[in-house]
Amino acid sequence: MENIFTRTALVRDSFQVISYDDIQYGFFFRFNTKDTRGIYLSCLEKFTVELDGVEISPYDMTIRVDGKEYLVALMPELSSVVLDLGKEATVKVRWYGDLSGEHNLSLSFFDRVPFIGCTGRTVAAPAKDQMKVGV
Amino acid sequence: MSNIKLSVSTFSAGKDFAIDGISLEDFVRRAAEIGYTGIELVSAQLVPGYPYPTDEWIEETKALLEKYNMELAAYGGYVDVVRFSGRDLTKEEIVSLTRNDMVIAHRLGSKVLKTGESIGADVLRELLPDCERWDIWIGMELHGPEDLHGARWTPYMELFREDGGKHFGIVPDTGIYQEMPNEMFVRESLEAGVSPERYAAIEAGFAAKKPVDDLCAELNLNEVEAKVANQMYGGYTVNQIADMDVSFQYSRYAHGKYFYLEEDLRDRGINFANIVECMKRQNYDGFISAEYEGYFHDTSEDTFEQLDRFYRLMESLI
Repeated sequence: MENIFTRTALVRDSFQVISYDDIQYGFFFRFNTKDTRGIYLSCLEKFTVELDGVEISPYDMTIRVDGKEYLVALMPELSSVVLDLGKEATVKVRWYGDLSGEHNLSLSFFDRVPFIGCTGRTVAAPAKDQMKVGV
Repeated sequence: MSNIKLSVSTFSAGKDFAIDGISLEDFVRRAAEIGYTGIELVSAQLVPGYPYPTDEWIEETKALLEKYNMELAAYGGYVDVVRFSGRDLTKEEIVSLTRNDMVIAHRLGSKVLKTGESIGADVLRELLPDCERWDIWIGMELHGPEDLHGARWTPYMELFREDGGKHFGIVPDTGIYQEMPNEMFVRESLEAGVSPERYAAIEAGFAAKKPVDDLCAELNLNEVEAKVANQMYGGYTVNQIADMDVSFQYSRYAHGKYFYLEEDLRDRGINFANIVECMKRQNYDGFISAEYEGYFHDTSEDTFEQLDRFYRLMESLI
């Protein structure tokens, strides 16, 4: 049975290469949080993106919510930015390697439930998803 | 004399909002068509700019409720104590956030703010003048695994007794009255590989209150079956039926939690007839909101069919 929490986090077919004047310099994709409520970006812990097993630095990624873009490295401080229920966020990755052909993209994070627990004893739901992407 | 009114929480349509993309107006219209006269608006689920909606959104929402002749049975607030990374909210921040929720509730025309148990009894005491000023009752949701006798709820109960339930009280969530596994638990057990016959034997042992270890040995349960048995005993052994009267004594708003109602309106886990009898005995005066959570287990069920069944069930009991 499919339940609300087993939906995929990565939005299929959302992967696109960013290029200009025939030079590829990154890619972006969309994801959702599989939650039942809006979630503060500060509550997305250990937000990790890998392409072909290579972990992207949080300083090389931005997250776009409601038309505004934030450095992923700053997410722990983004306690007033809410990803609303059912909405998708866009992650943009700075990447100068070869993106031709097929690749494995993976995303994982822990969704800290903001109203349960206290610091050091929080409840967090893990989310992990991957998909094949091709250029 | 009781006055039990039927409302529905927006939380019931979690999958419809998140996956199917229905609007708040879709929800309100369909709830009104079923016959509900109130809704609970769950703030963190649906309020744009949560927890600080715009004036425009508040006016639009009021107009929407008026359009469908719908009352705001409750504004569903949250106390997001671990919203910040690395520290909890301070007491002053919790007071401020809860007052913010009270203002929104009042502006939307609700007299009930449902909030979470992490707020603290001392915070409630500080908010007493605001409750009087805006004529708002603050209800703490009593949700599993908490009960009225634990360290967290004892200070609340002292306050509720002092206050007589006039300004503060309990929002019982009927999930705490589950006596037997619900339909979704059964489906998941069968999907995990337990045969219907073996499942029935496990449940019969549970109903007979056999110790789980004895049951596992007696039925020679395999690993999957034993896991189901342990989940059953862990999830449904402790219920709070003994405290039902005192919970409704201090309640003006309740959550009618359920996971699946059959076509004949039977819930295999919760005895709603007993609950309504208790509400009548306690002269309950307020809304009880349908809170369907079947989508936590199976998103293929039709939410509004389930809400229609809950409405018909409760109408027959009231």
